[in-house]
Amino acid sequence: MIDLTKANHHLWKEIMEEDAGDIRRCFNCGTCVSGCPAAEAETPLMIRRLVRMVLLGLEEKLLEDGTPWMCVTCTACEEMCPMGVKPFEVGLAIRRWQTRKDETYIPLSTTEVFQTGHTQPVEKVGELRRSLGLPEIPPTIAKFTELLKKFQAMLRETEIVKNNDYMFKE
Amino acid sequence: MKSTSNETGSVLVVGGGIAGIQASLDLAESGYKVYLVEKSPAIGGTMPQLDKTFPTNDCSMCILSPKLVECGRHLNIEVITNAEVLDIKGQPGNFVVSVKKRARYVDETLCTGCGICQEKCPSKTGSEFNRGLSQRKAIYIPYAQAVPNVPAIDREICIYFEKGKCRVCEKLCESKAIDFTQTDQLLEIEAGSVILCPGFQEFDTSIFTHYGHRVFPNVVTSIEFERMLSPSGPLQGHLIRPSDQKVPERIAWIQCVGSRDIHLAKNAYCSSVCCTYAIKEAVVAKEHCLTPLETTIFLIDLRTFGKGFERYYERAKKDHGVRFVRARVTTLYQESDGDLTLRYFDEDRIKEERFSMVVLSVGLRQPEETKALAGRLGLKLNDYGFCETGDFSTVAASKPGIFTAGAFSGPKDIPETVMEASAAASEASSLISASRHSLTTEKQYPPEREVTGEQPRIGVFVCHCGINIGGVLNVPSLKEYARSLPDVVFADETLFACSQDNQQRIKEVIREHRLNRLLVAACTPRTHEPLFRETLREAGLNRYIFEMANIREHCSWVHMNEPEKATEKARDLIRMAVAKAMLIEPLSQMSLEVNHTALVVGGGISGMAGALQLAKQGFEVHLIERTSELGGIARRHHHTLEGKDVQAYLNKLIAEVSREPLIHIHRETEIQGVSGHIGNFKTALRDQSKGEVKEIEHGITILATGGDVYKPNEYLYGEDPRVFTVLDLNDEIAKGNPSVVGSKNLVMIQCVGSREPERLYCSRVCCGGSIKTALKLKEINPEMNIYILYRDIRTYGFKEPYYQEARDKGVTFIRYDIEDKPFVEAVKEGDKDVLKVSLKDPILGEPVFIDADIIGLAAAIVPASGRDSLAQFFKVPLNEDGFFLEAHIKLRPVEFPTEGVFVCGLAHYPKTIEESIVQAQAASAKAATILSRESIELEGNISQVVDENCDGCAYCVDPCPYKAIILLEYMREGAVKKTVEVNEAACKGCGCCQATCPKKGIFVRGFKLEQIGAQVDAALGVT
Amino acid sequence: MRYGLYLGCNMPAIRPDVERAMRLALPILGIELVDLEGYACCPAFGTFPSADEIASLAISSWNLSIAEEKGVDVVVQCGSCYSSLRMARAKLLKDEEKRERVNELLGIAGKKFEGKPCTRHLIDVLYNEVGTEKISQVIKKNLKGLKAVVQYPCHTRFPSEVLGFDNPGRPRMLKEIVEALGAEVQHYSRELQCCGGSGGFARQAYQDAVKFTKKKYDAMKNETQPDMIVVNCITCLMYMDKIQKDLSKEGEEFSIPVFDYAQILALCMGFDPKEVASISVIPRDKIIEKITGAMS
Repeated sequence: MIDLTKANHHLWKEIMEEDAGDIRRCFNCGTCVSGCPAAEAETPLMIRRLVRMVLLGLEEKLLEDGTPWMCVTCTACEEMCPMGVKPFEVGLAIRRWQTRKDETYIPLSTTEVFQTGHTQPVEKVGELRRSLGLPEIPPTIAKFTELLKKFQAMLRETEIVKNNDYMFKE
Repeated sequence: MKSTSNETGSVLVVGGGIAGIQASLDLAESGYKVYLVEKSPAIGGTMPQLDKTFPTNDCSMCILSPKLVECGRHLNIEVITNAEVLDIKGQPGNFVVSVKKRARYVDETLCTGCGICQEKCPSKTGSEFNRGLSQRKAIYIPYAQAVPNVPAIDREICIYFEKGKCRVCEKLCESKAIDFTQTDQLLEIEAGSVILCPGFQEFDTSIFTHYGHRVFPNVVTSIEFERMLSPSGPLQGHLIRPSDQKVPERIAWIQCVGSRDIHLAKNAYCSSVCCTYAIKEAVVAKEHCLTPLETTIFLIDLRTFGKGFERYYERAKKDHGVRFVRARVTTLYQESDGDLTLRYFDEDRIKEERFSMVVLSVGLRQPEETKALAGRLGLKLNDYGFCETGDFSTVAASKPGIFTAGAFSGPKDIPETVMEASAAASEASSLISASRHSLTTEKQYPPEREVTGEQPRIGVFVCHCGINIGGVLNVPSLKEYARSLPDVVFADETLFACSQDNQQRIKEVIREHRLNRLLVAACTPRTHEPLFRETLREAGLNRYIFEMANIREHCSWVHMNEPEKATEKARDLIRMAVAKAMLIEPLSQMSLEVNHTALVVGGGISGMAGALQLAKQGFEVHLIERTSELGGIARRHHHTLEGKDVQAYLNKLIAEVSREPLIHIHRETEIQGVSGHIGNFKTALRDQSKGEVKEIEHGITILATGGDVYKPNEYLYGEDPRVFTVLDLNDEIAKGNPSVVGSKNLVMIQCVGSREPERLYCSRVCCGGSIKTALKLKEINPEMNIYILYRDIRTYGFKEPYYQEARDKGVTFIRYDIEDKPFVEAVKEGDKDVLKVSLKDPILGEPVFIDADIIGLAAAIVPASGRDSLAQFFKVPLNEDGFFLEAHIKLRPVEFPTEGVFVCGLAHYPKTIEESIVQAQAASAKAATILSRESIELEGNISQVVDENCDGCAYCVDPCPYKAIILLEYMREGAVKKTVEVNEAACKGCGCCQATCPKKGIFVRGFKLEQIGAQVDAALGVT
Repeated sequence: MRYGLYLGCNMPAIRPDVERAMRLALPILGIELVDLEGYACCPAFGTFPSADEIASLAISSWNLSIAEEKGVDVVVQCGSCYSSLRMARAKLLKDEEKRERVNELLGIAGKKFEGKPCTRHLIDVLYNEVGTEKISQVIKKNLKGLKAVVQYPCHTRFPSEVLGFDNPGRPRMLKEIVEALGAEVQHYSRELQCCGGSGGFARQAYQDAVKFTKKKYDAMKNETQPDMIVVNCITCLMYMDKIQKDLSKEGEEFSIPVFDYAQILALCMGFDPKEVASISVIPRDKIIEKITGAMS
């Protein structure tokens, strides 16, 4: 049995940060889930249920829930939601809240982007690229080490990196 | 009663839908000249497009048709079609309205409606009436029973207007009715007041591209589906799907298309009617398919909040197997065979399901052109583009003297539209009541031809009723059969016997064939007899030499699967009717003077509003209230959901009523007995405080006896002081009770006593009511946690944005099922006493509980006590829930079968204050149509005593439900003769006396024993 | 027409043949491509947008500021890059506070976001700026006789108010630019079903994602006979290609070649398939042969 009285009634504000306005409009119609690819998973992503947990303030339950990370980011839910709740954004906000609460949620790809500027090793496929008539290294941040330094310096000032600086290596 | 007042005694009504038609008829019947301006070539509006109407499944066109015809031929209604209002100048009481009447290019006075022009016209376009499912020509009559039944030329697609030649219609028209020289006309019409009823448009589906409307052939809108179901539609009621003309096996309805959608549709409101019309379409569609049809309605909240709707919903579920799925669908895949796969989320998993067709339940909106009209007239529109109305007067537009009715001021269903139409008529006329009868003319009938003693010459019309009859019975063979019967000198078939052009035809046939009896084999006399009787009068015949054979309700509808046997039965019915027709006689009618005083029972808002409205029109009113105070249940309401101050309004109303010299208020008074009838009632009033009884005389009665709050026996109510009804809670909030306004956790439970097997109706006001209370509490104490436990949130119309506001403010809504209600127990939580409320949250799919400090129960609205005796006094029925049952749930929402008695307010059904006021005004409008007359004609079909046969046994006296029979003794030939006498004014012709009389001493005129005997003989084939 | 070419991460690293195809084909249509030197990850929704919103917006505006310096709008092929960049710009233009915060961060790197450059998807540019007529005119070979199905990237459809250019419920632009190359485009019931390849679904519940996508392939196979699938999004390209191999492990043989639009465009222009269409899981040789052998 879930005790609604003892729930964190301000959770929605914590999670939604400044963009808190619209989530409370949700009237549980289920549109968001009805068009969601990841709702077909064995452990489905049920974004309506996540929105509900946010609104009811079920902190512990939400913190344990890994389904927000299943989102395919197609944003169909945001398009169709009759109340303009932006469930996709709520999903991202839940992920951010989870990473704030528990750093094991921080995606490793974040550290990769910090380190190389990219999620893929664009600088390591020179041979293939050359064979196609392309420059070995594409003109990205990977090619300009000075820029990468500035990029990292910029990100050093963000909360996520500041609070978890041990994870973010140059 | 001609007047010399300065106000113009006419009203201009804009829009010829059911609202405009009803308002026009009410006004014309109470002594005002009416100009009815309609933008299309024919009046009728949306109703003719609908197949059936909820919740009675009456045929929409059939119930409208008599009103259409009446409106079309009413002497004091001038129907101006193809016209629009440009501007209104002047003051209330003396407006001058500029109207642009577009050229029809057909002379209405010459056209015979033969249809050759439509047949031969070479230019086609999609029919607006059939929503593009069929084609119409450039010269066209919008629909079969159109009034006027005269074609119009559509300049946009007419080849002559485009290329300068063609004029085929002109060449072929034998009556030379085509007139290309016609030009648009600018009319200046003087009117004392104006009523706007321009109606609505359905949402444009093009913004919802994902539904694939107009891309996927088997996705249709609800209005298109109505045309597909309609007997007069392009499919003639044989439901097949567009892609391959196959009979559908599974149909899905998707609710809230365009409604309750602030994102893509940008509409915050609920369209109010779609839930119930979808149920109707699902049920009716099954009837239209000979093979089994599965129907599923996908919904968010099911909103069957109107009278009779909840039972309709339950019947749809249990008796008709309509499936209801709580899921909003946006993903549709069109399969290669034209089927549509719907993907939806059913509580805990994704499901995909295949359907043959999908119906989009599109909501109601205001089209740009009515917004433009409002702009031209300087009328305010609300946030949603509908006409803004007065605080407690929802028929008053933002300019004095201009009123509104129907969907112009918000989405609403037919009965509410009809009520508003009558209310607007009442308001419009009270402004100019001094000029009543100043511009009207009395209808002159030709002198009645004496037919008694003539050999019967019977004329028979057999009606196809579209396909209602013609689709089952062999009508041509019935016509031939009728022709073969004795004394029948004329027989013919007709597509719609009740259409306006057919009335003309009947009159011609009567003249030509010198008919002295008319028989119409069609539908029920209940709705259509008055229409044909009027036609007889116009033809110079007594209205009672008329007979109907009901070959629809009694035959084609109930035997639709056995056409041959049904045709055989129809032959029997026609033969029986002819046998009776031979013996029918002209009857005379008694005329009675009308007492111009009204009695209004109940001193709540409805009663007071009704009384005041009548007084404003110059009628004296007795207003009786059984308690010592006026105000009724409204005394316990502080604010409406919209924030209007109820007490301020109530006090103003009480002051006005008290000040009004024409209103006599009787407090602490109850009714002890009633005698009399329409025009002349006598009612005994008992003053409880003084113990005195006095009798008053009145012409009409309005029952406004109000309602009460159900006293719950659930959820610890009455056992624990922390459990209140929501109404009590409002009082505590008003008092500032700290344990209420200071509570931390407050729970409200909806549907307490409503929507239960023993009270199978929705109390309509509780969802809005609890939300109002929640918003008030949030205003006082924003930190309070408020939970509303509900089954469906039913914030219909413009109440929906308040539901949104409540969520915005953090009110938590948790849905529960009737099978799994919340459980409330008083427990100790630590050192605190709490009310523990447990239930399952369907979104989490898990049990939850709330430790509440206070609980509010949204208790049902029940009818007030004392209704049974009133029902007996006034001979009016109650429904299964104890609310007064009106004459017709759609089109006569304030009347009873018993004439001269009307109903309004909670006595009729739970409703809001504004809705009660509208109904009260409607009741007073209907009352005024009687009170404004000098005399009324009684029915001719009433009882008559045969003194020679009557031996005064008095068997008939007690069974008479109208107390119309008394026992008499008189001296005859030196002896005392006992006999009975009939009070003709009280008799309704029900026939109970005739049935009980052992001596043939009393009979009902028009139903003589030999007449009925002849029918029976004909039925049995005895000659 | 000058556009900053934003390649994202996957294309230059995993499918550089698409990059090559774009670089070769687009200039022929009059599109001058400008390299956005020093651009970084858009960032992908699974990275910074899932960890720190301001950081994420800072990275997006880093990328946009490069285009701003060069005075060009951005053209993107990858759906999620398109979505991420465009949503970030919309958010920053709407929210002054966030804009300031982001500019503070950009200031550290000597950059500034003003929001001038607009991000356009390649389909949008090809359809609305170049036009189908021009495409038909410039090609040397065509796809006559070939049947195609198309895959609209979800990220170019939703949310339509921020990134829509086509009709979100009934898109047609990709179909029409494929038709401009002479192919017959066939519709099937699940044409608009998401490929399922993006984000966490396929990563965390691959078997379920395969089941989901199989419905799409079943419908495609039962309702059409496509010679190829044409996509215009790097994730759709990689996933719709690769998944067919996994489906075949379960005994379902689809083997429908998948091309990016830029690739078939470049092939029709006569470019060397070894440069513009050399990387795939499902073999594409037969189709490529047909195209290169076809006469214009």
